[in-house]
Amino acid sequence: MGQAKSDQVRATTFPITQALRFGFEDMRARGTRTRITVLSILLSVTFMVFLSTMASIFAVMTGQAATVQTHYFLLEIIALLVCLVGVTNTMLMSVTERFKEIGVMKCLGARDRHVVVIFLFEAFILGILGGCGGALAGLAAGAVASGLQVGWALVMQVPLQEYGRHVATGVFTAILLSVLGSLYPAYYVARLRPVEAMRHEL
Amino acid sequence: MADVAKQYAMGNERIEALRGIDLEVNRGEYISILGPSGSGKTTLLNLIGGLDLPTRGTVFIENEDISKMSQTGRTLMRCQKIGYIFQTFNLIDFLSAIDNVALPMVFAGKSKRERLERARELLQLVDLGDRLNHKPTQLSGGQQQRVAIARALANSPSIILADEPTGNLDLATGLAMVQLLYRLRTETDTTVICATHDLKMIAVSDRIAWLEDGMVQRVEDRQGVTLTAEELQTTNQDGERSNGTSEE
Repeated sequence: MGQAKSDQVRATTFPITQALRFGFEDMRARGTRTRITVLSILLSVTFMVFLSTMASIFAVMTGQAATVQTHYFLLEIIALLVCLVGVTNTMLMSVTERFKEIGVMKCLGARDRHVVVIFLFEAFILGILGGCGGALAGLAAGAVASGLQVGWALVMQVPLQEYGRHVATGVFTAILLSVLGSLYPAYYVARLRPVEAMRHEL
Repeated sequence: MADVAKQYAMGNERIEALRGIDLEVNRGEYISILGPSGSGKTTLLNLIGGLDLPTRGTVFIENEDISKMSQTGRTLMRCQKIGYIFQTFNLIDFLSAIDNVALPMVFAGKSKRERLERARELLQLVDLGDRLNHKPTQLSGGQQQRVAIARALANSPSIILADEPTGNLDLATGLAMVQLLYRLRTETDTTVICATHDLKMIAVSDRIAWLEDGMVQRVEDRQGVTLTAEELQTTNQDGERSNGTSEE
């Protein structure tokens, strides 16, 4: 029985390279679906970074950083909520769409955690893609919009680190939200009995 | 391992899909479960494979009661001892043939080299050595099912459960599949339990269990069955050596 025991221990880890590859392969196979998911993450993040970029620029303009920032802070929270709802919804759909696939994997001996890992890695990749794209787009949009309104000189006055911070926050938020958003559906479906998962028609 | 490796007696009262079944399958045997749709064939296979749990009764695999196993225990059992073949193939669309075959070995924790080597061997065994990197969508139905058979064999299971493996295939392809299953069974000394309403499957079976309304009507040796349609209706021959019995 020592044999079985060692098998059991080895069986508990799902190789990360494999998980990444699964993520990529699946995203490639479902091109349209992936593009839509990335786009929704991207748009939310764009909105968020756009706001924070504008906030930085206007803060420089007015010199009254404190009051303006609280004003924008509220807007950013709303942006974040929009982002959260959007990403969770897309991830939920993307997971539920694949119930059958998960059922098959479970039939073949996938452990619950294998299933979760596969989905989290995919969410992670999606988050990075959408996050990077969205953050850069938001930054550009914010800079251009305020540049046209208040002049390019002010746009240049904002320290680069501040822009960098907005981009980083955007990317981080995207990854966090996309992983969080898929955690629940992945966990839920991973715990289903294989028959239930396979029978699940959407 | 004991000679009589598997036996089960089970029931399922919920929807009465199965109404108390006693059946014993020997190691290395090829048993077909025949019955009309809705007779509980799939349910029976799901229970044997630990995909679902019986409402009452127990399923033993190699003298282990699978309903007493933990969730993890059952998963490991599925991984190591059982291979599945489905009517709808159920390959993972985004993986190539070789990756599909290798997938169960990933779950079993085999190394990458081991996986690919074995997957290649298995695909050659099912005559798909030249289609290793094709995606399921680039394969015909028969080829997909052969990939599925190779996948079922990946972890050298002691039991292969096949749920209507020929149901989605045309006659000739289905027949080829049946012969392939039979050949592999002989070569790998695997028990095959096959649910079907396809009479072709009888030809290669050691025994046939007739399922109706969630009960085993009778179990027959292959010799006792001839391949005519009338034979389906008449119940003139009960298997002389039948290990299983039907009961309420």
